Amino acid sequence: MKQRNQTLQKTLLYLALIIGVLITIIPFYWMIIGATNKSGDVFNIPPTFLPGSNLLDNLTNLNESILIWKSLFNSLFIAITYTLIGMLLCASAGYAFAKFDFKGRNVIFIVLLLSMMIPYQATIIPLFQLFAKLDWMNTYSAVILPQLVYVFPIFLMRQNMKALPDSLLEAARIDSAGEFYIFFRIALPTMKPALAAVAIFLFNHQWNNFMWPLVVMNTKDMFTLPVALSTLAGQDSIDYGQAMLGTTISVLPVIVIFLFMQKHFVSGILGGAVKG
Amino acid sequence: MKRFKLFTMLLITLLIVSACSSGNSNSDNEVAAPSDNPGEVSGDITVWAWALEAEYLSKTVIPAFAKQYPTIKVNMETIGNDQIYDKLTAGLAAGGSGLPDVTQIAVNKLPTFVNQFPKGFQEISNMGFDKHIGDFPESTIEAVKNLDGNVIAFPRDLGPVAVFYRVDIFEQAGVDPSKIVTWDDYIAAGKVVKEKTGVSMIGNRIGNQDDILRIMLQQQGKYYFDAEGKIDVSTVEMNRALTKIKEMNEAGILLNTSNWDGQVAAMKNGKVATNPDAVWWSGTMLDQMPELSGKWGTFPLPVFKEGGVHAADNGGSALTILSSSKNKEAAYLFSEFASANTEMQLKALENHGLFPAYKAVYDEPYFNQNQEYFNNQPVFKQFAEVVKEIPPVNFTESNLVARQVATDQLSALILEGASPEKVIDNMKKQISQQTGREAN
Amino acid sequence: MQYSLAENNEPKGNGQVKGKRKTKFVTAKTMPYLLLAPTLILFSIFYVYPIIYSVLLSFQTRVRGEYVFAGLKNYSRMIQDPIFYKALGNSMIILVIQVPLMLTLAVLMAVALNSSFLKLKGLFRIGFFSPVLTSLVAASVIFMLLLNKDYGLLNYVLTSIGLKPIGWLSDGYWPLVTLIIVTTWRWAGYNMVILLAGLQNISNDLYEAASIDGASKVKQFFYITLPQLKPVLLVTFIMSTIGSFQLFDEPYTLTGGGPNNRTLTLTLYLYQHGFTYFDFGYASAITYAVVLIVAILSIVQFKLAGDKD
Repeated sequence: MKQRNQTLQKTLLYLALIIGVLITIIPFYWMIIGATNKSGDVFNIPPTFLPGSNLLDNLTNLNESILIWKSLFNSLFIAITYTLIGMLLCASAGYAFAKFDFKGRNVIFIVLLLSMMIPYQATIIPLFQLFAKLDWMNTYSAVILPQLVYVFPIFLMRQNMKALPDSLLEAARIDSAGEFYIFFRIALPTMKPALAAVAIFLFNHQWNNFMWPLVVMNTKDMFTLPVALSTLAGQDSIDYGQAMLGTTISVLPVIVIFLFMQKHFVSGILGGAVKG
Repeated sequence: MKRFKLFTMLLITLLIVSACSSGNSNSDNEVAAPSDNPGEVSGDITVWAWALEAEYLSKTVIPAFAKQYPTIKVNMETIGNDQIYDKLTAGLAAGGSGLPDVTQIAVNKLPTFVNQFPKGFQEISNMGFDKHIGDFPESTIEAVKNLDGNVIAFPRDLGPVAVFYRVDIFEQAGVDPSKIVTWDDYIAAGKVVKEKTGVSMIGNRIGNQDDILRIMLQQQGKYYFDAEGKIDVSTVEMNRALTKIKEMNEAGILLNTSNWDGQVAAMKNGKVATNPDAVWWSGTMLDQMPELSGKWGTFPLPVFKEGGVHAADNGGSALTILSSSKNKEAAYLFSEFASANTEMQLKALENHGLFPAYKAVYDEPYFNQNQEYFNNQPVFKQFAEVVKEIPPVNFTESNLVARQVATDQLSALILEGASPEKVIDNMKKQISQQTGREAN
Repeated sequence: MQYSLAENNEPKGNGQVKGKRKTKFVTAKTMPYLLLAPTLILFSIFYVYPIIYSVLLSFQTRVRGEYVFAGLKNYSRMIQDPIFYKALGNSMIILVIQVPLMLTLAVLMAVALNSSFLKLKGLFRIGFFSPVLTSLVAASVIFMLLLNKDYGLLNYVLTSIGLKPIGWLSDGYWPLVTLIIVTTWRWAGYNMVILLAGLQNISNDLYEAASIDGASKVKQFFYITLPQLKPVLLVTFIMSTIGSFQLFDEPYTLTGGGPNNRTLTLTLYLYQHGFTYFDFGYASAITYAVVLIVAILSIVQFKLAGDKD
């Protein structure tokens, strides 16, 4: 009886998840349909739900319209550099906020939180002026640097680091381990799930970053993918075949990163170090 | 307390710094006319444009220009339409950094930009443009002047309006498009079409734009503002236009398509029988609905009273030179070549589907040719006829605010059942609240 | 309470750590500053200047291309602006309805995907996460084909089972409902990933002990999972609060704020004033009104969550 009940529960859970995923991925699937059909076909009523045969034509056209591969490189270079530096910054800041009691901690934390509440649209112009004065336009660092302080993953790291028992750190200190050793060798290794999540958010944040690279990058060889794709848009119209193919290409690396990182989500309970 | 003091000092320092830096002077607006002798002007210029215009400039204009002016090198950057404005805004607000020498800009956006950044754009009247003024429609020239009456942009394409209609659906309903003269005729025909075929007469992006209202106002010589720039919405003409739109809705012949994608889908799938809008729709129709070739035709915009004007303009763009340009002479020569040159303008239409503002080209044989897609009608000739009659209106720098308010109020009219009088009253209140302008 | 929060039984601070090592530069005292230094340096360059600039801008207006000091004019205009209140109201409705809805879904999804027997976890995860990756421009076309009142697929289904068609993008409160659904669709999976990472930090021992005590799965969820997840849930709550006040992409592509401002959000409104009308002064005033409101809401959430900072 109990056995059957469990099987029923499992089946229901699978069913719910499958329906949920199907609803969620319709637009995603739609993008692939759009990428393989002619531009006007996305407007068919009822919608065409099968892939078409126009993929190669769309690719040829897209290659003519924008520097898709150079833009892909730009986006990858910027996002990877950003993610690596960003992970270190977020982890160390989150660790500092969670595990140390120091003068100014609350003030700094609140100021950082407040800055997160400012809509980015409001700071574009002054930031642009700053970079124009520094003569730093149209460079990779102009896109990477201003976004490096990303408060949300810092906050996320802080909350996760709080679960790290102080006794663990104290024990290391009593063994006279250096502070950096404690951070890198004891605290960080237990944070793999959180770090993996942070990496995904950092990468995705920079990967989809649009408004800032748009204003600060000026030549097509420096455009990131979202900026390059936006050049396909006219006053009202857009070539959907090209746009959706471009978007599909731009989504693939994030999926790879996601699949690569997510194995850490299931890495099970933090290595032996943490016990109740 | 100490911390507060420090903060105040920091604030004051920054205030001073920013006060000093905000006084950056823009370059002088007086530039001599460029020499007519090719080869005397040289150097690099950068040009921004979007979509079709960018294609026209890079594939048609630049190769021809390079032959005539081999010493000028043109760098073309294709940028999305909305994105050009974001980039221009950032660059102009920062006092002219990171900007190109020449940029495309929509004519209806121009007044807002020029009035907010009066020193940002180069006056071209004295650079030699005055000799071309007669070659462009008066309504367009009026729209590309700054407050001092100087021309600051080269008109490129135009959006003369007519009614696109589905020939097959009209035949099926037994409606003769040549009998549709007034908006009342149009509504009556719409009822027949709906009854016989079940297809809506008109699709409109309610809640997303105000094009139909602007078209109906302009054909009556009116707009949201009068010639002095006062808010001009409490008019008989406005009431008439709103009443007709409401009638269409109540007759059940108006389909709400919500936004651009919805409108394209409705047209492609035979959900609407007509689209009273600008010539540039032809580009989208050819691109996105090639299978409807031969099924679309055009007839003139209906009028309110017989003998009224059938003409209005919706859209159109221009090329403008930024004051921050280091090479204004080359920029001028390029823009002139791209906008006031018979051969180029003809190719703009033939190869890129951009309807030229340059009137001098309308007599070319291409305009009289029948267009296969459009039921073998000489549609470009018909649109050229419209251009001659377009009444000039005063956009003012508050144009975009007024359009947003009008868009909102059209939703109130159609979706919330507000009366035209109520709508007019709200428009007047909201536009003056947002712009501080006087109202008639 | 049987299972207390991890943070509550931690000794706070490091006061008892004695500086055993003499005059060493890197100590428990200096360490936090060293950890924070790069963040703070970058912050002061790339945030402080733009923020002060835009605060100052909120006290200025542009008259024929020149900024002039205007005192509190922008703020008093805002207080009298009915459209501002409409946008504020919309943001509030989204906060009150959409955020709890989305986070409930996200928690359920995370817990389901964390269950030990489930196969194909990777596929489910990427599936739920995919809306954040899809461009909204691509999604917008399908939404128009699905949601149109007269020829949309959704209404076709509704009418064929005998229901009335719904004006998803036009009638009454429906556009706002549509916006809430689309926003939830797009961001639930994103929050799910944050919560999944948080779930991994909960020790299995807690569940094992509870199972031995005979606590049901539901009880375990309420007495172990939720309390243990609280710090991370707080992150998602505050992020979503901020997100609902900064909601921009979805209304921008889907409705443009219409019809008649019924889906206008505060950020869309400030973008309109800044980047469409070039009224940066007024846009900045709206910005700081938003910051103030969100700050107050976040403090309330911190207090309710019992976070001691």
